[in-house]
Order: sequence, then structure tokens, then C-alpha cells
Amino acid sequence: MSSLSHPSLQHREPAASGRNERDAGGALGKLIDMAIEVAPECARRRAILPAVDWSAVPPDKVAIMFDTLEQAGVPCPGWLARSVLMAGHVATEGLELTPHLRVLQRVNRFARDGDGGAEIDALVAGLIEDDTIEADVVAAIARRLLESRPSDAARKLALAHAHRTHDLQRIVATHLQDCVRELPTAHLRLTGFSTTQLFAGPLALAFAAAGWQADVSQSEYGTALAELSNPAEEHDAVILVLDLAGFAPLDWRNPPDEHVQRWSERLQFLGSALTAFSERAKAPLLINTIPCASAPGAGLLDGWHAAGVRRAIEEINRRILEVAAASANILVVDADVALADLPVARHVDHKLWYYGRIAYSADAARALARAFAHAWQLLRRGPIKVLAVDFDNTLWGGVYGDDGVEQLQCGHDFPGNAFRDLQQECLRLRNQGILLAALSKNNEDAMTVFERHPDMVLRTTDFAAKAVNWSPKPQNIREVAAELNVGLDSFLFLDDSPQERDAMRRACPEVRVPEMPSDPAERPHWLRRQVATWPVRLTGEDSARHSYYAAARSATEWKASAGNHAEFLRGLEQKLVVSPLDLSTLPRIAQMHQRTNQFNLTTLRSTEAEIAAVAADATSGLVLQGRVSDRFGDHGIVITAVSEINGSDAVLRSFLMSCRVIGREVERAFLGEVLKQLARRGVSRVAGSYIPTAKNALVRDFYRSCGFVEAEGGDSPGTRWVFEISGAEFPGSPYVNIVQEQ
Amino acid sequence: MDVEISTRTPAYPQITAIFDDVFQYSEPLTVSTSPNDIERWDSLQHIALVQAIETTFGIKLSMDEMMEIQCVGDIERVLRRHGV
Repeated sequence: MSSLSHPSLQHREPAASGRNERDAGGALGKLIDMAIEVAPECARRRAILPAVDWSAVPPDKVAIMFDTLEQAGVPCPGWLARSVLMAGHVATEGLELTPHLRVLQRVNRFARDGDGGAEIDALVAGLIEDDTIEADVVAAIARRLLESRPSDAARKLALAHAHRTHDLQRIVATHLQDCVRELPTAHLRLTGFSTTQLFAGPLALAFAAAGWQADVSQSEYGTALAELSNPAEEHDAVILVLDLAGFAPLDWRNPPDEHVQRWSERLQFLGSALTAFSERAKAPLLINTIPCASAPGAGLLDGWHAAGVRRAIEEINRRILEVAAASANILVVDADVALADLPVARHVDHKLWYYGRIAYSADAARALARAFAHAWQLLRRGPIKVLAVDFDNTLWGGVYGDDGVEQLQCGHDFPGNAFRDLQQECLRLRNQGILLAALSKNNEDAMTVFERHPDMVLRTTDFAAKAVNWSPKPQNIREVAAELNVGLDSFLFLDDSPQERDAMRRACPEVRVPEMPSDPAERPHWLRRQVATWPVRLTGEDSARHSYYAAARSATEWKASAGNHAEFLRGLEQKLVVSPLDLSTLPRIAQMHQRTNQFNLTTLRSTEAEIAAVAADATSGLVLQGRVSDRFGDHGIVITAVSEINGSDAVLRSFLMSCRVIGREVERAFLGEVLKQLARRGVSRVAGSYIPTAKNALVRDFYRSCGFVEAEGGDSPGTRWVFEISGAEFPGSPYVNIVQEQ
Repeated sequence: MDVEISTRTPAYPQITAIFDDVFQYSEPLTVSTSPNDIERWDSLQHIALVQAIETTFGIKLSMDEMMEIQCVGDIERVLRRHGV
């Protein structure tokens, strides 16, 4: 850069604030006036102007510069437009700008004149998931909006990108109270083997970006193992920040064998404490692995020698992962993935370790906090349920309508292999339970490409829903959502076209629309790193889910030809297998509690540990599950009820059913079975409640329709219902054949 | 320290912003402002202060410099040494 670097030239406040009066009319002002006078020459040679701090230059002089350029017929270079916009000025009309700078231009005008607020909100919303925008540009946009006209969209934008620049972190920290006011609270307990105090700030920021207000309490220094062994009741989650130096201090006075023995013992303590935690705690534990990349390596033997540091780290991490795999409430964040975008030299600030046992640099703390927040978000809200994908230039290279089947790129050779790998990724997600929906502007026969092209990985039957037509995609995605009975907020939309992505964001803001890389070579890897697709735990239901939907679709198609609804139900030949909860299905039952929104009476988001606790004692709890099949196939475990028994009284804590089988009277048959089993245990009165949410209006009158009587009050919101077993007729359905299983 | 010099305000305006961010301290600063004047300036928040100085000015302080900083004037001296 140029040497013109007077402090006021580097002053970074926006022009509107009218700072930098010190030099008004002084030598520097004259110098800049001269530069503006010869702007065409300066612009051509990239001289003087790059050094000017435009935030210190009044808007009328900036306007003069643009005029001078225009009169000389010299187009304004990109770098000049950028620095003028970054300084807060409104550039002259008709300038060629990148899409992101165009938004900045609009925001600058909005900050100055207040024009077009609603438009700005839509533009800003489009940038929230766009990680291709340059960090300083998005920081400028967010800062300007927050300082001039703060809105929800602006706060969300700042939060979403806060991890990228220090500038934005400062701004967000000062606006944090406004940002989190409406968000649900997460009470977090923070612990570790080194000083964790400085983690609280990054955690609060990261959780806010993930949609939660974090209330962080700190454990006493050095009490991590005690925290795990005696988990307190009042936290929503425990976060254990693990680091090597704090956990396994080096002491080379001992021979290598003893050294290894020392940390092995500590590892055993940690393993036992983790196991104790998973047995006792109701809240989940989030723990990170020890990062390998920044470990103090000791040469060629480090990975295998008894005293190798890398070997120690790998063993520690493996042990933690083993305990987590066998536990229902321990989630492990991979520190090497979390820190991957940060140069290794910046993972640890060594002087802070020696000064106060601070194990991670501020940057690393932020990256780890972000990974913890992602894990928490996945745990509470679950991953996406549907991946809606475009065809042309997304699943294959080329345009089916123009090129025909043979010319489409997808196969084992370059460049079709990149598309083929993206299809593999889609298939991987399908196998982990995410439904695929085809969302393509094409004639309907484009669907046949999957069968006619020899190298396609995906098959027509892999798609749970199809919208292949010429209607607008937002309209199609709504229809797919209705067909699959899944909310739009559970969709991720993949499309190579920026216009389609933009249209989707505007029309369906609930749908997640990430900026897919324009280079097909980048996409398979990019899709693997989309946090919203990461499963927290996999159940047998997940890998079979797409076939359940296929069965449901066949049933729906058949329904059209079946005449009336009763005939349709009779013809389905439904079978309901009711059985008590067992260990193998516990993850599925917990998953249903997290996922189910519509047919859910209380929307209680119970965890595996909470449900297992109810089922543990047969005298005080009953957890039943139902598996449904029909003539078209198996639907898997689709319904469950959790009841607590107290003598002759029982309460239905939760009663919920997957949307796949709504409208088939399965719920009536299942409820009847639950009531009968409770009666057999000596219960004479069963209470249930309906707690309304934005999505469960469907079940408002469910208990009434099953013979329950509305009861007074209670202190919870919603309605309370009671079923007196003596003399009452149990609900049931003539269309559901019940099979008992013990 | 001579009285006239010790009441001088810091030459780097960013220091005022840092003290506001880190200590929520918005009183006027002088070069002699020290932990005696700011209750929150304890050994833990000292770390946050050092981190804020490093990120704001894009420099990396050493262990010695971390100890050297006992008042606002010390920060100025360290910044000048780093050519800020």
C-alpha cells in the first residue's frame, strides 16, 4: 500500500459521525482535494487514492470525485468503489458493483435517508447464511445497520457472522442484550481442567448466534471430575472444555512408562466420571476432544512411541468417544474440526497458559464455543428432515431439457465425478434418515433421468417427494412440505442458481438456503460440513425412513382409487404392535420427542435419560410404543405414550405420533391399548393435558374424541382431561388390528 | 511521575474503547489510570485486556509486556515499541 498514512487517514469511523475535525481545512484536506481533482489519473495508476480514508472525507467531496471520473470517461475501479462504500458513503448511480457491495450501497443509503426498510430486511436476511460474503463487508453492513437503524434482521446478521471479525464481535457484544432478549434460555454449567472463565463470553455469543440466551455458571477451578460424578439438577447442559496440558500435565522426571501410567490413570478417572455422569445426569454433557493439530509433537515417533504426545491424545480421545457412544447424553465435539479454519499457531496463546492456565487462545475459544453451540442446537432442534434438491447443474452437469440424457455429466470421469459424488452425499443423508425431495424446473419426464442415465447414483425411489414442473419453487416446496407433513423450517434447499436461492429466501424464510459453492468440485465436501445435516444419534428408524415414506406414498396413491375413507382404511389392513419401551428403541422414542410437532399433545422435549427414568420402575411409570405396518409395508415405530402412575391415578406426560400415519385412526387404537394396560395395573383414573403450540392445533380435541372429560384448571397452560376407567368404553378403531408384544 | 504528564489523556483513542469494552469503564482515562482506579481490572480481566489490545492493534504481546502493563501509560509505551 501507499505510504500516505497520517493517523487521520487511517481513522475508521464512518463519515456521518463528522469526526476528524482536527484537520478540517488543513494540509491534509488540501492534499485530498488535489487527489480528487486528478482522480482519473490516480484511479488509472492506482496511486494516492488507495491511501485515503474516505470516512474522513465529507460526502460532497466524494460526489465531486465520482463526477470528475465520469467527465473524464474513466470507469470507477472496483477497489475505489469498495473503499468508498466501506467508509459509509453512497456511491454514484450506475456503478458496476458486486452483489454484496450492492447491498452495502443500499444499506448506506438507508442509513443516510431511511429509504426502503422492508427491502433492506429482505436483502439482509439473504446474507445470514451466505458465508461467501467477505468478512469486512458483512461487518460493515451489520455495524452500519445496528448503529443507525437496528432491526431483528440486522441483529441476526451480526450474530451469524460475529465469529468472523473482531469488529463484529465488539459490536455484537455491546448489542447482546437486545439480540438475545426474545430467545429461550439455556442454563449452562461450564467446567474444565484449566481456567474456563474466559470461555463464558464466547459461549454467550455462540449460543446467541444459534438462537439461545446462554446463562453460564462456572464450576470451581479443578473440580471437573467432581462435577461429572455429582451432576447438579438445575443445568440444561454441562460443557466440559478439555485440553491436554490441564488434563495430563507432562512430567519427564519419571521414566516414559510411568509417565504413560500417570495419564492412563487420569484417563480411567475421567472415563469413570463420564460413565457416572451418563447414568445420573438428566442434562446432556458437551465435551470436546483434545485437538491433535496443535499438540506439541516430538518428531517421527510421536504417533506410536509409548511416550508420544500424539499417541496419548489419540488414546484419550478414543476413550472419550467410546464412553459417549455407549451413553445417551454425552455429545463429543471434534476439536480438530472445530479449529480447522484457524492457523495452528493461533490455537494456543502460550503466555496466557503460563500467566493463568488459559488453554485456548481467544480465537480458539470462539471456534470451540461455536462448535458447542452447534451441538446444543442439534440436540434440541434436531437436524433437518428434508433435503430439497434441484436437478440441472446441481445433481448433474448440464440441462436435461437442452442436452438430453446422454450429454448430462455424472459418472466416473471429470467433471461428472464431482456431480456423482454430490449424489453420493445425498444418498448418505438419505441413509441417515433425511428425506430427499426433488425440486426441479423441468418437464415431468426429467425424473426418468435417474433410470435412463447409466451412471446416476440416485434412483427415482430414493426421493420421498417430487415436484418436477414449471411452477415457482417456493410454491412447490410448500406442497412437498404438506405432502410429507414436515414444517418448512426442517428443509434445506440445494440449488446452483443464485436467483432460485434468493427467491426461496424471500418467499420461504423458514427454509434453510445456504450459499452452495458455484464450483461443483467444492460441493460434496461442503455438504458434508453443513452442520444442519449432522445427526446427533442414529436409530434403526433413520436408515429405513425413506422406505416408510415410500409405503405411505403408495397408500396415498391407492387412496385416490379407493372410494370413501372408510373403504380406504379397511383396505389398508393396518397392524399395530404395542410393546413396552426397551433399550434398543429408547433412542428412537427420545428422537420422536424431539422431532414431533403436529400430533403431540404436550410437546415435552424429553431426553433419553428422562424417558428411561420413567420406564425404570414399573410401579410408577409406563412407556409404550407402537409399530405400524399395512399392506404397503412397514412404517416403523410411529407412536408412543409416557405415563406416570401414582396408585390408582395415572398421568399421560406425553402422547405423540409421527405425521406419517395421521388420519388412520392408529392413535385411537393405541390410546385404547395404553388405557387398558394402565387399568391392568390398578389405575382407575387417567389424566392428560393438551398444551397448545404453533403447530399442534390438530390434536386440540383428541382427548374429547376418545371419551375423556374436560377437567378444571391445573396451573399449566392448555386444557386438562380425565378418563374414568370404570364403566367407560375404551377408544379403539375397527381399522387397526392390535398385536400384543411383551 | 510528574503531575502534568500523569493527567494527560491517552494518545490512542482506541484505548478508551477497549477499557469500555473490557472493564465497562467509561470515565475519562489518563496515562496513570491503573488497577487502583478500576475495580474490575483484576488478574483475570488483565488477560481480556491484553487480548483486546492484541486484536485491536493487530500485534502480539510477550510475557514480559503482559507484566509490564500496570497502567494506561504502560500500554502506550508498549504500543509505540510495536510501531503502532
